[in-house]
Parts: sequence; C-alpha cells; structure tokens
Amino acid sequence: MSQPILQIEHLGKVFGRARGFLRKDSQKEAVKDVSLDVNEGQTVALVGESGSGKSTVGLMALGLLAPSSGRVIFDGTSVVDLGGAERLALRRKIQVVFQDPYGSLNGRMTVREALTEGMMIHRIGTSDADREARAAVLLEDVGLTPEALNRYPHEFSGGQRQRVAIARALSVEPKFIVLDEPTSALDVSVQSQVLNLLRRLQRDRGLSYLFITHNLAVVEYMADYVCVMSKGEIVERGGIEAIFDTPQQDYTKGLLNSIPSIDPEARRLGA
Amino acid sequence: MSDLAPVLEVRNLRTYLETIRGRAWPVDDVSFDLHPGKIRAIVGESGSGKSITALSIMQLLPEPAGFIDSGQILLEGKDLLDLTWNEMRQHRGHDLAMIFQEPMTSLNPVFTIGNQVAESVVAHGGTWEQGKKRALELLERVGMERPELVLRQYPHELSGGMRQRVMIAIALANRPKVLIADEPTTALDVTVQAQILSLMREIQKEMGMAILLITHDLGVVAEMADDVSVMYAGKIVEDAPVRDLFRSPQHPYTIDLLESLPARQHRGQDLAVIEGNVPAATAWPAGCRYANRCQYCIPACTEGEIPMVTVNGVTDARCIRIGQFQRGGVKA
Amino acid sequence: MTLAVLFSNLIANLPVIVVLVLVILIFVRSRREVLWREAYRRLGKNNLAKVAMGILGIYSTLVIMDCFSWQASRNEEPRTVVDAIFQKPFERTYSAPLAPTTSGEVMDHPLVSKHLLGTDSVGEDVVYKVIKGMRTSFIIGGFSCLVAVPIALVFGLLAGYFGKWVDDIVQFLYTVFGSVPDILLIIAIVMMLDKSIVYVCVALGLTSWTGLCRLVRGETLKHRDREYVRAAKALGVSDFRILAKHILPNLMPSVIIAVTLLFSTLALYETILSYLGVGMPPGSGSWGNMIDAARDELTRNPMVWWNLVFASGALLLLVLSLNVLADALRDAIDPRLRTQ
Repeated sequence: MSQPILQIEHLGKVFGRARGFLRKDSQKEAVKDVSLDVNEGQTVALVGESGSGKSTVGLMALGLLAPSSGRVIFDGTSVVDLGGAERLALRRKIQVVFQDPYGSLNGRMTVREALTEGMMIHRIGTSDADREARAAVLLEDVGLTPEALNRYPHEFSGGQRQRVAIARALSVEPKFIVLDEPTSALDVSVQSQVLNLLRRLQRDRGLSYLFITHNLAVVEYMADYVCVMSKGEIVERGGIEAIFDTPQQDYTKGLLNSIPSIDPEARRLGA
Repeated sequence: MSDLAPVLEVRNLRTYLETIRGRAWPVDDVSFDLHPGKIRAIVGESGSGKSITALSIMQLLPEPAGFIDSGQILLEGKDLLDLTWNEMRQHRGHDLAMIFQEPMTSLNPVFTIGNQVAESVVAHGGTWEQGKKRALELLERVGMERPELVLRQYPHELSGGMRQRVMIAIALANRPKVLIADEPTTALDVTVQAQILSLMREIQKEMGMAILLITHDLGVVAEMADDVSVMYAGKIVEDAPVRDLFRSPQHPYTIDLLESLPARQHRGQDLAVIEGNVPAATAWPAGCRYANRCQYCIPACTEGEIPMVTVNGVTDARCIRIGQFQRGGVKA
Repeated sequence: MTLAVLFSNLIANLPVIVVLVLVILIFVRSRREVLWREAYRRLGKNNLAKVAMGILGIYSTLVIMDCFSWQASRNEEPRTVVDAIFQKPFERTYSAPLAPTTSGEVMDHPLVSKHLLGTDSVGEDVVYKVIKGMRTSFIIGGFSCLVAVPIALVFGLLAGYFGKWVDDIVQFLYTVFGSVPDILLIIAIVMMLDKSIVYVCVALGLTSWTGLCRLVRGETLKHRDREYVRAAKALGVSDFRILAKHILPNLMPSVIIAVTLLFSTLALYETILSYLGVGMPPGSGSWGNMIDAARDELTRNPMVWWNLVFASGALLLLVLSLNVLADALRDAIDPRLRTQ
C-alpha cells in the first residue's frame, strides 16, 4: 500500500490539428491540468458524465494516446517518451478492460487466440501448449470453463465476454488495470458478478485499478478514492465519505442529487 | 389501486419472432392494466421481453419476423388487435404514443425540429399552420429555452437530452391517453436523466395520461412508478405497487435483483449474484423459468404451469413457494 | 506429354490457377468460421444464388479444362482438353446455327458436321469459340484483380490505420487516378507498351484499384478506433500484426463482395477494349473480338447474328451470375441479420 504506482501530473490533451493544408483551425481542449495518484493495491475512481474527458485520461494513462502537456509516471518511469523495448515492457504492466463487451473482443479470433496473443508477444510461457494451459487456468480464474478456448466471442453472453476481456488483460500478468466503464453495458445481476470478480482479482494479485465510470453506486461500493471530473478538469476529490456525505462543490452535489434513489419513500424528482 | 377503469388492458399477450434458431417467444402470456394518470413500470433485464411487449402494443414489431400470436390489447375497451393496419395507424401517435431509447436515431436528420413536431399534428388531421403553432407551444412546454430558435434547428444541433425533449414533444402533440416510454433515459447522463424524468412526471400530472415505462433501472422505477411489473424470460413474475415491491419483494428473482445492487453498506463484502443464464426464448423450460438460477428451487418448481398468486392483498407473484422467504433469506 | 510442357502450361495459366487456388483457400478457410458457416447456410436457401453458382461452376470447369494442354507430336500445336472435346473440323465459311449448309456464299455448300451455334467467317465452330473466350475473360479478370486487390488493400489499410500524411498521400493518389478517364488511360498504357494480355491486365489493374481502396480505407478507419484494436495495442501488439490479424479478417466479407463485383467489371472491360481494338491480339479467343467482328457481319445478307448474340450472351451470363452472387453474399452476411 501507500506507494504510488501511477502518478498523473498536470495532464492536458488538446484534440484537433492547429492548422494544415486546406484545413481550418479546430481545436478542443478535452483534458485540462489533471493530476492524480493511484497507490499500489488501491482503486481510484474517475467519475464524470459523457464528455468530461475521463476516458481520455484513461487512454493517456495507458500510453495509447500522447498527452499534449504533463506527464504520466508509472512505477517510477515516465510513460510518455519510451523507446521500443521499454514501451513493450510497460505494455505488460498496464492493461485495460473496456465498456463494450461486444466491441472489445475481435469477432474473428477464438478465445484461445485472444488470450495467447499477449503471452506470445511478451514471451510468457515456453511453448504453445504451455501458453494454452495458462489460458485455461486464466479462464477458470475468471469463472469460465476451459472449453471456452475454442469458441468465438459471439457465442458468449455479455457478462461472459467481459470475463474473457478481463482474462485477456490478465494474460500478461499486469500490476495495474484501467477499467473503462467495465460494467456499464451489463445487466445488474451480471454487474454484481463482474464486480465481485474484479475485487477478488485485486485481492489475490495485488492489482491497482483506475476505475472510470459514470455509475456512482458502483463507485460507492468499489472505490477507495474518488476524483470527480467535469469539462476536462477534476472538480473535487476525496474518500468515499468526503465525496458522498459532505460534497463541497456544486457540481458534485448536483450529480449526487440526480441519482435516482432506490427507495420509493425518498423520491427526489418532480413528485 | 385506481377507481377509474383502466385505459389500457393487456390480456394474455403472446408474441413470437422467427429467428434462425427457430421460433422464439419473447413475450409469453403477459397481462397487466394501466390506469389513467398512473405510471406502470415494466422492469427486466436484457432478454426479458419488456421491449417486445412495448412494440407489440404499438404493433411495431420487427418486420418481417415478429408476430402477435394471441391475446388482447384493449385501449378503453376496444381491442387493438382487431383493427386493420390503417385504423391502427390512426391510434398510433394519437391515443398511443411512444418514445424510444435512442434520441439520436429517432429523429430524421434532414428535417428541422419544427417540421418534425408539426408533422405529428398534421398526420392526425391538422393543418401545417396549426402544426407550427402547436409545435411552438409543445417545445416551450418540454422546457426548451428558446423554442422559436429550436423550431428552425436540425437534430444534430441539439444535445441528447434536448433531442429526448423533442421526442417527448412529438409524443405529446396529440395529447395521447397512453405514453409508452422504452428506456427513455438509458442513453443519457444522470443529471440529464433527472431532468427528463422530472419533465415526464410533471407533464403526466398535468395531462392526466398514463405512462408505461419500460426500463432495466430499478432506481428509475423507484423514482417514477406507481405500479411495477417485473418481467423475466417472457413472463411477468411479480406485479405490485411500487412501495410494496421495494419494501417486501416476493418473487425470488425480484429479491435477488434488489440484493445484487452495489451499495456502500456492502463495501468489503461480495455482492449477491444470480448464477447461470436466462433460458433460450426458443425453448422455454417447463415450470418456473427462474428455477435453474433460484436458490429456493424445489422439484415441484419445474413441473407444470406456475400460477400467479396474490399475497398481502396487493402483490401478485408467479412462485409456488410464495411467502416462505423475504429479502435476506428464508422466513423464520 | 512431357514435364516441361506441363510446366510451361502452368506458367502461362498462372493467373487463373492462382485465383482458383485463392478462391478455394478462402472457401475452405472460411468454412471453419461460424460467421461464414451461417452465411453459407443462408446462401444455400437462396435459389437464384444457387443457379448463379452453378453457372459459375460450369464456366470455371471449362476454363480449367482449357488450361491444360499437350503436344501430340513435336511439330503439332499444343491442344487443350477443351480443344480435344469441342474443336470441330473447319467449314468453308459462315453457317447459321444447326443449318445444313453454309450461308452467304454464291453457292451454299453442305457442312461437314452439325454446329449447334453455327460457324464464323473462317468456318470455326461458335460453341468452341465461345468456350475459348471464357479463359480470356477469366485470365483478364483474375490477373487484373491480382494487380488491383493488393494495391487497394495495402494503400487502404495504411491510409485508414495511420491517417495523417499517409492518408493524405493515398487519398491524393486515388483521387487523381479516379479522375482520369479509365478507357483513355488504359489505351495509353497498352499503346505505349504492347498489345498483349499481360499489359492489358496491368493497365486494367492500375485503373481499377481506386474503388476498392476507398472501401478498405473507410472500413479500416471504422475499425481503427474499435475497442478490440485499442485492447490489442494495450497488449503491445505491433501495428503490422494489428492490421494483418485483427483488422484485415474483419474486412474480408466486404472485400470479397467488392472483388466479386470488380471481377465482373473487369471481364466486361476486356470486351470493351477488344471491341475498341486495343484489347486481345487478333486470333486469340475473345468475346470482345467476336463482338468486334460483328460490326461487319450484321450488314451482310443474310445477316450473321449468331456470333454477336452468343458472345454477348456468354458475357451477360457471366457478369449477371457474378452480380447475383455478390448480392446474395451481401444479404447472407448482412450485419443486420447477424445474431449477436
């Protein structure tokens, strides 16, 4: 605990080209001066509505998108300007699980191919048979049977696909996973399965999560620390009690008041 | 319950879809009443058949694969299933209006907002003059800040929330008796969702219409509904007033669903889960369709048709062990 | 038949053989995939598509039969299987289908044998000539596709995936190529080089890649930002592997449909070019040359219509079958009907 594994410092992202041949100037500042730390074994939630820039921060933390300003430091080294070999080494340590269980798996690849591809690139496992055995263990770890290896994504339900996506992220034995709305496309009964799985994997493997979501109930259940984003900036940050019980900013208060209550006796809207 | 006669009664509705895996029955013997001035929520997860129920009522099932097999859909006592296509068209958008989940694709991108709102008036016998006038009123009513400007705008110039307001304006154009809202706020942010839900409630109070709210979100149900039908695998498994449903759910599925919601008090513990999958709609199992996932299942659960049983005088549930358990486990 | 002759045969018919092997490979490989199995199942229910596939099957069989030849003795021309089966003794000149005598001569002569579709000016059987034309069409279609498809795939994938200046260059290239009138460019290339089948194919290939390239670029652009591609990048998968293993297989359905249509367009082009006199050298079996010759034949008395009608008919049947098949494939793998 307590040692920061990921440090994001004054991160900014401007989209669009300044100017070009026959092109008009069209720039949009998606992320402005965002700083946050994720400690080892911790879950930090990045909460915000669509267009708040939370997913852009996630892509920059992964090193998949170059920031316009600021730095991302993972495990003591800067993510932004890495050479080939170091870059590949970093890919092994940070992984990602996306929202859409239909779009995040390649429909033309079997589960076996999806799970062993990363192992092959990072030279994990001694042979194809060894990698396949590891893939089978991974599947059992995420609650699927090894028979799933030979199947294609469309043969699975949404929740099962999300388990495959989680297994794929785990296939390279990362320390840190960016979870980009991992349960938003799932039914509540399936959501609870995936949340339980994520918590168990965190416990067993000492994983750290950057949990990007708009679902405040999930945040209240999962996160250790919360950053609320709006229009590219972090407007408020704090522990669960600080954010949910004593929010300071109007934006946070408005957000919390908008969540429908699960108790019909405590209706907030209109009535 | 309401003293007024129901404005919409659905009786034993069965709908099938022809799929490549054979004939599927996403709606299998569904019945409920909708009373004027009330909101009934149909809540269920994906594959429960809730959206097909809504489309069956509108008779807008996917062509050419969807068919209503049997049942009655009574609008003020008149069976909509006896009507010709043309007669039904006159009801649609007039007495019966519908709004959809996706406000991006429900509007035609090449026409102005004013044009599309006015058209719904014209389609039911108004002139374009009247239509334009009514469009302005409606846009003002659904909370547009500068309605005269919005009239001339195109859908892509509006945000998702604004588009959903336009959809509501179109639905309200002919003062419908019944509004069917299929996941109206699922694609929207929570703050926008709150605004749209408040608007729907306000308008419903003001116009006294009935709303059939199709949703998967139990929070939205708790905020909005008067009565709730919980749908699972093509059947309504529990039907209760909203307070009773959340205070003392009866069907094991409803109980499990409520237990699986993440909340602060569960931090550090595993959430309740529902293992297994919904059975295939092409081959529903005999007996209770929740039996394979139910922790209270006994052998008798998988035999014969499970009837609706009334408990506590208000709740109907489709379970033979009704009353033997509650939230948190088996009753002492 | 010596091995050397067989080998030279293979070289001469390389385009046809490569295309056929590719088609068979795609077919066999795709049968293992569920998406395609479903598509074939739906294709099997489409009677029109089955007829089209049957016609294409017959055409392909005849073309393959025409690709293998042998020399009976050192001083004889090599003969193919088709020659052996369909070649008939020459008549004196034209004769109408199934007619007992020649036509158009001052005194009509009785024929040596029966000709189902008549004979042409030098008395050659029209059935035989039509069948010989098939191979030319297939070679032109196949070889031109072999030139056009790789260009289109490579440029389209690179432009769509990398964007920025790569995309600018590729877009510039296909806009320029697309804005030059095809026929003029082809005529220029053929005139400059030589009137041989290889150059005709190269010319056709160089002018016909733009449409497919545009399609591939657009589709790649769509897939580039999909989450599965991002996840692959996060795993450290190289750009080349992402293009080859992740994006390309997802484009295959639309590429196959587009190539089917491209093939039929190219077969049509061969006829147009031969008709204009810049296509196949005279003497080689070609529907275009047959149709070209009909310009004079139609003014003769009695009119000689059978060359034109049967050459055009064979071409029509080929193009129509390919188009029907492409349409049926599109319906069979339409994403809207795909079960999720």
